[in-house]
Amino acid sequence: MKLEAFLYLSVFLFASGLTIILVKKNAVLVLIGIELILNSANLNLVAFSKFDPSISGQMFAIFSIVLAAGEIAIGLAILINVYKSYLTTNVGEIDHLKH
Amino acid sequence: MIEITKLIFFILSSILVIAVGYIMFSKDILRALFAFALVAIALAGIYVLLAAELVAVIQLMIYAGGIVVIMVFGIMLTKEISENRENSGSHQVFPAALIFLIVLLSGCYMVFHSSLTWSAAEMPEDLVKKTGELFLTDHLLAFELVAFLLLVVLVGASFVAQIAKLGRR
Repeated sequence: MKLEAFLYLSVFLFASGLTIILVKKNAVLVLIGIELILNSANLNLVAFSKFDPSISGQMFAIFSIVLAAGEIAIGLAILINVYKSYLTTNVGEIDHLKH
Repeated sequence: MIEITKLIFFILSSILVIAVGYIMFSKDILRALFAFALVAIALAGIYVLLAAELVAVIQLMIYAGGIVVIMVFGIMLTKEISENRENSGSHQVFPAALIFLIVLLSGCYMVFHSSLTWSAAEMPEDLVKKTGELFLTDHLLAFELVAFLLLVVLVGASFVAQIAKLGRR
């Protein structure tokens, strides 16, 4: 397997994650988009680690997965808080700082 | 042997692309979440192809096991599924599609013209043992920092989730 195949897949994951963040109205789906972007970074790290005798890429991928788990826990806690005060999770309607 | 690897990669990546497309176009949050679980499982398979078995197992445990369950709870606690479905759609579709194409094509252009001529290196025999040794030697500071960060996340998430309740008293 060539390295480029994995890099193309990673580019697709990054682009679609960015699009999901921009397009979706529900905040949970925005968090899923962030996760897709982190997954594309992990795929890059692991793919480059295949071509490297020291396995630093895999170590960084493990650290990155742990950080993603922490980020999603805090993100959902904030989201539940926002839902308690706005009674919605639509990111377009949470705009009190604009006015 | 090489052909089988390519076939498995093709199947896994097509599952991944279809699931990501489903997340993009679906109007149902819960189904999009299960498509995300499928993405995580397919990525774990791709990690196995890349000789990263430990990362694949961690990916399965944390993403497909942990994050998806947390997100199901997030969706349940915010009750958006049955009440108003118009909040689960999309907005500003055209500019986002433009940005998708620009990012995808420029990324593919960069990969295509990168002229990477690397060859697969020999992976260490006992990968898990090597990883554990590296955690406690070369990456010790990052390991301890991540452990401390997890403690902060544990306390912080449970505190942030009950701020509204505290404010009412």
